[in-house]
Amino acid sequence: MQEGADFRLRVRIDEAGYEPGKPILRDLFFEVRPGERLGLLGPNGAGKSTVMKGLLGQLGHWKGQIDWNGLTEREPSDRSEDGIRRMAYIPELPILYERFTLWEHLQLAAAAAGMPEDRFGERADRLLDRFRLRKAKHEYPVRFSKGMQQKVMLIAAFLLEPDLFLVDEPFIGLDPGAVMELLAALDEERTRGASVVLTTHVLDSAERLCDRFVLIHEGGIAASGTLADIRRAAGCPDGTPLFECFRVLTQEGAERS
Amino acid sequence: MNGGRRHFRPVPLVLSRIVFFWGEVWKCWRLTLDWTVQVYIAIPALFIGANMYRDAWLHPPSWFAAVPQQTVFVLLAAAMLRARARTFADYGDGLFLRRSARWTRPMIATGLAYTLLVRLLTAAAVVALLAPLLDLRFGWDAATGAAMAGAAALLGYAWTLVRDGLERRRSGWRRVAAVWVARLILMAAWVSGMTAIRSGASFGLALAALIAASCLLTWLRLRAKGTFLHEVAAEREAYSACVRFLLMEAGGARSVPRGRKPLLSLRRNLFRRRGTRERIAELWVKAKLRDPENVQALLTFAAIGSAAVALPPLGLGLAMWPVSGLFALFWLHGQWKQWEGERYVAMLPWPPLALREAEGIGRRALVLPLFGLWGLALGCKIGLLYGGAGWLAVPLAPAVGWAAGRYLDSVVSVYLQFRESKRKAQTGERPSGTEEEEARENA
Repeated sequence: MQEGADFRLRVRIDEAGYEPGKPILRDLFFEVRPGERLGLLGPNGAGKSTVMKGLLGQLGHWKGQIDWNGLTEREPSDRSEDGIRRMAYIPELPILYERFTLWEHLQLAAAAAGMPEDRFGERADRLLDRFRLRKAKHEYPVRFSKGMQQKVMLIAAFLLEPDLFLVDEPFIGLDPGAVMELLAALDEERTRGASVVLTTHVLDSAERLCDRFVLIHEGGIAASGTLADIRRAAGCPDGTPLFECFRVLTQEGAERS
Repeated sequence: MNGGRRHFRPVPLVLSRIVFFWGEVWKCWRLTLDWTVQVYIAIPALFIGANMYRDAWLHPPSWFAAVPQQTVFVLLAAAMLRARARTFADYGDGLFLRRSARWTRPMIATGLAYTLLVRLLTAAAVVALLAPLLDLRFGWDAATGAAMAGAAALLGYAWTLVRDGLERRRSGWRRVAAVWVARLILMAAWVSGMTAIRSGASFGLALAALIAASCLLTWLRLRAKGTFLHEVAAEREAYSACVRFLLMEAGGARSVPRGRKPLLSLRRNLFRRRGTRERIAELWVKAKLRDPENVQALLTFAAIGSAAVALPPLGLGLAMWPVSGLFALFWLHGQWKQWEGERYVAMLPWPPLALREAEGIGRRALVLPLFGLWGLALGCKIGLLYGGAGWLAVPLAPAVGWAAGRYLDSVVSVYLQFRESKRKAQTGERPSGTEEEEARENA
């Protein structure tokens, strides 16, 4: 890692977990630069979603440090309002309110972020068109299919133009068209300078989508860096797909333990 | 082992689910009916109720003479036309059991038998409660009462199957409208039919018609295909209806809208000012006006408050005005807090104090019309009591109510802030940045 490089987020986790005294994550370090996409990869139960929850300040046990645009946070659960607003979280399972229409979900998100109504209307309509949900704008998202509900979460996150997106398993439930739209929208956000941290099991997509990777295994980092770095760590030749490197690295880890 | 095998057959399985269902409902009610509620509320209420019932037998009140027989039919029908057909279907049945007619039909038939039995018990309970009136005013004997309860139970059973059919075939506002229209038609047919009956023979004919209709509807229902998902949804609704009252404040019984779109679209802006607080408050008010349980509660507040301010003497009515308002304000505060705790709302990054200020705006939007309405009721009462210039109270009292409502709301806001600060101090919770600044300024 380049010390002193221009970074948006630098995370050092000494110990973290859901209960005090029972750490799940140990000695993790990674950083995200402006406009960069970082993939948090790992087998089931490796601790990817726990890292996300740690970044959101939802863990009961946390020893570490988050540097956010040069400002240090020792306690992510006590983040400044501005800090909260600059980070958008797209959960793996959609979170919706039964009595709001799709439009009202977006209206509330915009009101919470203090976005003026005219700007909201224009941006929300554009995003609804992009994700092909304009016709369902005045319908209840709780009655939508899982994929459509996930799109609501995406639109709500994109609406707020945050500096950092935390995206948990973004490809689950989305049809191929929606995945393409998501990737295009993330590209646009990248040109604005927004960074993305995403967790996924879909390694083919991660390989195409992410600039760098952090492979988490058993609560620690098994390998990190660009695809070339990961190949080197796995001892695989050039051209080896990420999927194969992942298999080698996680198998090695399992054998060691 | 054999016992287990015997248990895993359609009828015993449904019976065990019925026991489980009532066990779950009872567990929920037991949370509220602890010994203090039993000693201070339930037992005294039972005692008072039993004495009133006894008094009604021994010393029939004078208003008995003014009650028309149709009231009894309406009360019976009202109790019967609330029910839904029960099948005790479980989502997991879709894996294996509900793929075989050998399981499907006996399970549904057992559920329908339960539905009929519950209708019978409910109708018998209503007739028993009305017994003093039925005996002393209309001269009904036990056989007449039992026959009427049986007829009402059949009406209720037929209704559950009609409702089931309508709900399966319609969605959104059409479903709500169809159910209400059918309910009103059945109510009218029942009341006029029972009023027209003059002899035992005609009653027998009516009973035979109800039995024939019930048999036909049961046969059609047992033959209906593709009803499983509707049955699962109906079971969820039935459980929710039994515990909703208790979990209203806790958000434990979620009622998901039935239609794709809201019945009340409310797309226009409710507030002229468009600041962040007004926008948040507006969304809350819209959500509350779309929730039938909230609308029902607001209408209940409107009705009970109007009755309370109309109580004689005038002084008592005046005193009941702010009391009703306080109840409504604290209830709305509870509703707001519940909404604030909704996962979607809670995950958003809120500016300091935005939610608190929005709550005040939203609460006033719902409570001030109530204050106005109660003022109108009081104004009418003053007009009726004093006549002449007293009628000036009709336009004046709502205006006074509006102003009084605003004042009471500001008092409640201060109290709620104080309570919140005290709670945070006790739990060691840090006040938010702006609260801290406010506290420093106040100091």
